[in-house]
Amino acid sequence: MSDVALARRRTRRRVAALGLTVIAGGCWTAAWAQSAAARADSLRLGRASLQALAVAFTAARQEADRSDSLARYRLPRDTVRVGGLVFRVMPAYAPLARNTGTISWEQLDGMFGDAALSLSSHVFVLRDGMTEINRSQGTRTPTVELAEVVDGVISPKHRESVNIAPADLANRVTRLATAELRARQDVALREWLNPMLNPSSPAWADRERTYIELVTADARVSERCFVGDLLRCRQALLITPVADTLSELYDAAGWRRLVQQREGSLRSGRTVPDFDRCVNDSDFQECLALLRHSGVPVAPLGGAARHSLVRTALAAGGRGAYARLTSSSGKPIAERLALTAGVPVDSLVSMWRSAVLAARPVRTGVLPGEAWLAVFWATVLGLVSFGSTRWR
Amino acid sequence: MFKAILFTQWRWGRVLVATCVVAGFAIPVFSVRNAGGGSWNGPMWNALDLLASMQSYGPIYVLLAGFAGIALSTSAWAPDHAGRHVYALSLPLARWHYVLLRYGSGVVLLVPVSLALWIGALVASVSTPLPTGLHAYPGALALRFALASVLSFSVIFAVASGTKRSAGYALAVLLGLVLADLLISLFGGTPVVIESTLGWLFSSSGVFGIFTGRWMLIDV
Repeated sequence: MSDVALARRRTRRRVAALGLTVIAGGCWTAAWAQSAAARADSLRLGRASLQALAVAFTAARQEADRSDSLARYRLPRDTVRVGGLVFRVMPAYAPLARNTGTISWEQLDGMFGDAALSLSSHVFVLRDGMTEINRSQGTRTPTVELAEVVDGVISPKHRESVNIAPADLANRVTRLATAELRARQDVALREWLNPMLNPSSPAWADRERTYIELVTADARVSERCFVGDLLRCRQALLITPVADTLSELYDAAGWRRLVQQREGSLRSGRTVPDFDRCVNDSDFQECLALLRHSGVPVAPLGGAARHSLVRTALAAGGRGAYARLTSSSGKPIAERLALTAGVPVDSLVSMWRSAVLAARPVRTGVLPGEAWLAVFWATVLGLVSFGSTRWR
Repeated sequence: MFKAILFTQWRWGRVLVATCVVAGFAIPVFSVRNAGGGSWNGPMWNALDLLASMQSYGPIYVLLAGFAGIALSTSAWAPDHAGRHVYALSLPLARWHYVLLRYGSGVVLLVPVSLALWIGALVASVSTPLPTGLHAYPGALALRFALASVLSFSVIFAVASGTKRSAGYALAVLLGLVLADLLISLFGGTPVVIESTLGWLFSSSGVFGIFTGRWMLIDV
């Protein structure tokens, strides 16, 4: 056999071996592919069943939580709904809950508008308190509790003993509801508004207090606001930032009065000579240094002024005003208030100022009508006694 | 005749008058003890704190005005009731004239109390450094006090001058109001009779409207 034939034969064998190898590889690959597909199918099935199990488990857990919370936190049977407020009450307290709800809802709806409807995810529970005194005396002291209900799971939040008077109870319910709404406010708004808004307090009370603050404030800025400088009003309300509160908003006499008012904290130990130099010797630079060193926060107007501004904005903005206020987080407070009221911020501040000036408290002086009325009744009563008989 | 009646009434009520005079002078002076440079609990420089303090003294002025009027009117008639009105019958005076003299004497005896309060309020105002924006109203406070004390005097004077029967009528009216409220609550309603009556009496147009104003020595 020639070398060529041998080479051809060797080549043929190699080709055959290669072909066999390719065929075997193909077969193996096909078999492997088939088993992988089967495995993927089985994995898919397994995952689906696991998912079904997880859903069932979650549902079971929720049901268990709901059952547990119901067992732990047994709600009274009767439900009373007034507006967005939901009460679960003992039957004896149903009329009280209706009266309370009416008063409270009027306050909440009046201030927060549509946003107050979000309170329907909570229940106010009204039932007998279990105190030893109640047990021994056979008396009833209702407690009011606030609980959040999410997917049927009840999470108790607050519990308070209350007096039976509907007005008192309504104030508690309003306060609890307002605290709940406040918890949803962003930090910037909450800090600016601090303390909490109080829908139970009439709007005129805030305005009257603000009037008194405006006419008695130590800050120069308040006096300017009182006479109609809207920029100063914005600064006094802390809605327009200032670089240096003490030097921009107060004058030298104001620094001295601020120091005088803070005698308790500023006149102690090493600061006694500084305090005396400020107050007794009217060393105004010493007053300023003392205030800066102490770092006590100073605000030209108090919480009532800011509350009255927000109330003015809410009243101007209608039912969706509060929702606009809370949903505009991240923007400056002045812009948020303008959005809330639906008017430019200067118009809002002007409206606020007019309302505050109109809330001037009635003076101590006796009005002529008042005096004449007293004289009239004293005369009438005197004439009645003149008609008495001498015979007994 | 007026002098004689005034003198007798002064003798019967001088302790009461003296007590009210002292209280009338002391209350305004006491009310400003912490204002400005006062010392007991530290000075009170903050205008709002001072106003709150003044407001807390308001009911005390009301009580004193009511007490002075009631006490003097009771003392004006007490000896007559004790003597079965023989003294009044023995005088050559018409009944209305006699009552007028008693009424006038009582009102005159209320004058020193109001004057004492006015002087006390003046002393307090002058001695108090007021925060910016606040003012003292000693005259207005004294006028309100005088009117309120005369009014309370007149009410009790009218009741005390009458017979037991007329006093009984007044009591019956009060009981009627209570009964009306009881009946309303028995039938499931909200008892409002007493509340509305008191509301009217103490409203700005009511009999006791003068009692419900701002009784503040220092105000905005």
